Amino acid sequence: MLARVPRGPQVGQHGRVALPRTRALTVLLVVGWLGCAGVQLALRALAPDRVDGVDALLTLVALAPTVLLGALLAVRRPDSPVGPALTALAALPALAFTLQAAGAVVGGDLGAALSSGGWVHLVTGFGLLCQVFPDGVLPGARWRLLPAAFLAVAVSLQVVLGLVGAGVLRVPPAVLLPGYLALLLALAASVAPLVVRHRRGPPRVRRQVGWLALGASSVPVLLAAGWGAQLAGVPAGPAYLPVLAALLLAVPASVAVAVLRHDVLDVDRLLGQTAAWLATAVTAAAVFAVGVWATVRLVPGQDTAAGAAAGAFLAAVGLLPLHRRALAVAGRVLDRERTVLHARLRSWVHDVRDGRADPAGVTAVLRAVLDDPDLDLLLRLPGGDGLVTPGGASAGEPPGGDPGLVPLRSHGVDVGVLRLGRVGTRRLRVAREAVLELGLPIELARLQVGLRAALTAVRDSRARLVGAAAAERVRLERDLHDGAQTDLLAIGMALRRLARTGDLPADESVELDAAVHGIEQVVAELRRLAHGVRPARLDDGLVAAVRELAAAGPLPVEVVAAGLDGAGPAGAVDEVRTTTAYFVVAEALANTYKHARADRAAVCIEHVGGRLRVQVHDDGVGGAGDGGTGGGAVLRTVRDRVLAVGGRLAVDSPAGAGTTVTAEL
Amino acid sequence: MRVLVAEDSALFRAGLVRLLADAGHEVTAVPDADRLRAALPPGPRPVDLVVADVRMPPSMTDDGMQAARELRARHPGLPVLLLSQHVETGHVADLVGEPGFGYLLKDRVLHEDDFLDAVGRVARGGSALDPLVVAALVRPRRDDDPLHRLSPRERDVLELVAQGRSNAAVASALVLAERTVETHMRSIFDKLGLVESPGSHRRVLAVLAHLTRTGGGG
Repeated sequence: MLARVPRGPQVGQHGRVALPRTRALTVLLVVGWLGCAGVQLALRALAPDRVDGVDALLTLVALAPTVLLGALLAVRRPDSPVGPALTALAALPALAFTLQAAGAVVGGDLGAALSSGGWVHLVTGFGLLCQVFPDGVLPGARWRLLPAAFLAVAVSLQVVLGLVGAGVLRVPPAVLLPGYLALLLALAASVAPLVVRHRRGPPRVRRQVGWLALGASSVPVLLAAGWGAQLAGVPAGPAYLPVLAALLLAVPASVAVAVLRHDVLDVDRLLGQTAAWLATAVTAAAVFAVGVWATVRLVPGQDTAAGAAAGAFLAAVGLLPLHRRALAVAGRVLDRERTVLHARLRSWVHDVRDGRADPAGVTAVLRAVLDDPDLDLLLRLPGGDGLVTPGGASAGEPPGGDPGLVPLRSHGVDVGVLRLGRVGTRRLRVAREAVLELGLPIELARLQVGLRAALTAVRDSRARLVGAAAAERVRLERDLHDGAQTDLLAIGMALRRLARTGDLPADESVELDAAVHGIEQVVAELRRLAHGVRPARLDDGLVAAVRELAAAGPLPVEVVAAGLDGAGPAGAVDEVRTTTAYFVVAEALANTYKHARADRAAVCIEHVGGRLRVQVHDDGVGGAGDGGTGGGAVLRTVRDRVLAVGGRLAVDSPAGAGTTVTAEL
Repeated sequence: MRVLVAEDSALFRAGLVRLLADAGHEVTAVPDADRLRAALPPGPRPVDLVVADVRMPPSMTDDGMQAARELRARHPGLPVLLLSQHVETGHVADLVGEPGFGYLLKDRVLHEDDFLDAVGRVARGGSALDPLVVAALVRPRRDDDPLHRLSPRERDVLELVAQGRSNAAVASALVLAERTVETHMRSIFDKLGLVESPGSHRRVLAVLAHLTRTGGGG
């Protein structure tokens, strides 16, 4: 039987609890909006002289996009409260307009009561949106109370304003100020969840909140300006029109981007720059004003023009450093992630420059900083084709259609590619900035890998050349023995036979004899030559060859061998190393015979762990290493041959204490 | 005498065959080690002597020597004369001193009489070693090597004896009386601590056995 596994629908139920309510709420709001529009049109038809048609038009046309957008979001993201909230953002102003129109038609105290406080609902939708954006009400009892408290404040203010409008309450306008302040505070409290989310939320939420903040930052500013204008005597319509415009255009647009395509632009950076510009502008204006004021007040006899000039000068002097400072602060506060990322990259680049970090670790740094463990940095070597990792491993060309590719360029040269494991518009942008910051270490790593590859190639090619030369020596030696020498001997035999059977005159017979003798000498000479090319006795193995070599010399030479099968053909040691080792022994012994004035010598051959070690020791006068005797030059050619096969040669030859030549192959 | 020649160089093979045929031997020839093995199947011995090149096809290393070793295992006592382009004592150290074994440089064929003499000696169960091989064998290797104690004349005698020559041949080569050679031989045996044995062959073999035992190229 199958184990009981929780099923998808059950798991999903909890997340979808809000679904019918969200949809129903949205439908309700849309119907309400349509109803408001209908009521307004009806009122206009009833009393065309008292109702301004503009509000109905505004309701139907200007609010329509927001309503539709809200409905669309409710369909596309049924589990998100943003859809109904956005719909409310448009439906509640429609209610305000309808109340205004109704008040105008009804007239009298009731009409005034209806129309006086309706404007409150221009911002209630916005407040609600801020509270629930983007994932619903924040958890916690206090946050859950916020929407209700906010609505209570708004409706209370509306009622009080209505009562004042109806003449039931008679108070001077200044007494209402606490009411306005309460609404302002409630609005500020509505923005608080956004701040909390931006500080604590995951990157996606932070970016979405950033978008909303970008669009909505204009609303409180414009609202405050509207109040100011109203207090100064401007009619309510024109005074609140900018707020309405901001609410109807900027907020829905930024909400749509935030919910649907929050990755399009670097919102944190935009936000930071906007904030910085705002701060700079305000501060510069303040500096200008203070400058004007101070000049006019403090310096006697100066007029406003001089003050303006001084203020402008002060503002201009402070503008650039101020803006730079504002940008840095805004970046730290609003775009923390990016600031931290760049700080980490910069500190690592410093470490590389000061020699504390290895540029080859650039991939690990990028993976950590960009939080992308599957990311790969692939470098194109100078003069090479194909890509390699900074560690030197060769990698295939990434497919051209890969969306996560960031090309690396240096002075217009294609130096490689960064392949992201996790792709996103924002990730790509951050990665591009990161590789710009890491230009120096990347270039260093590339040159390092290139140098290493070039050295390896040189070593390989040298080994191939040495191997080829060794094979060629073997072939040449065989050709000499089996070709020329043998053929010459055959000719000699033929001549001998001729001399034996040809019945030649005595002097010709002597000549023939001399010719055969000559052949014999040529053969001996060829043998000597072939031996110099490659000693044929190496066929018996290195140890046997060295024993023969030692036996042929004028000194007693002890030969000790370990790890080599003396009888087999060269044991497990390849031709190149065998020949080289033999050459080392031969040259070192020749050196001993010629220069060391030694009584005896010893040769030690070891083959341990894949390494062939030959050591030639004598008890002579020493001093071969410093070139004091003629042995120095000979040992140099030995050293070259040993180095050519990737081995090491050490010569220990203190004066008066014998010479030890050690080669490791 | 029936002689089997194994040699890969056609020119040299032809010369060898003609030289041996002219000397009155019945000669057959093969060009490589595999056919040398095939020419001497187990059973009654069809030839009296094998003359083989050490380095031959198929592998061109020491196939001739390997084949000769196998054939001597198959036909105990089969006389074998190995020819080589150069001295490789390591290959043959264990065969040196066995009856019916010879090891010569190819150059020696130009001295027809010496060569045919060596051929005859090996075929009769004697020994024929190249002077270069012998020179390597009789060189003293250690301070306490008894070879140090030989006089120069004794060493000359020893070298010739080690090459496989009879007392008479040694005497004529060194222009000595045969009795003097006898005296030198007794002294050599004394100094090397060998027991005198009768018969020319056996004496040579005793000398060679001693030389390969105390030093020998491998």
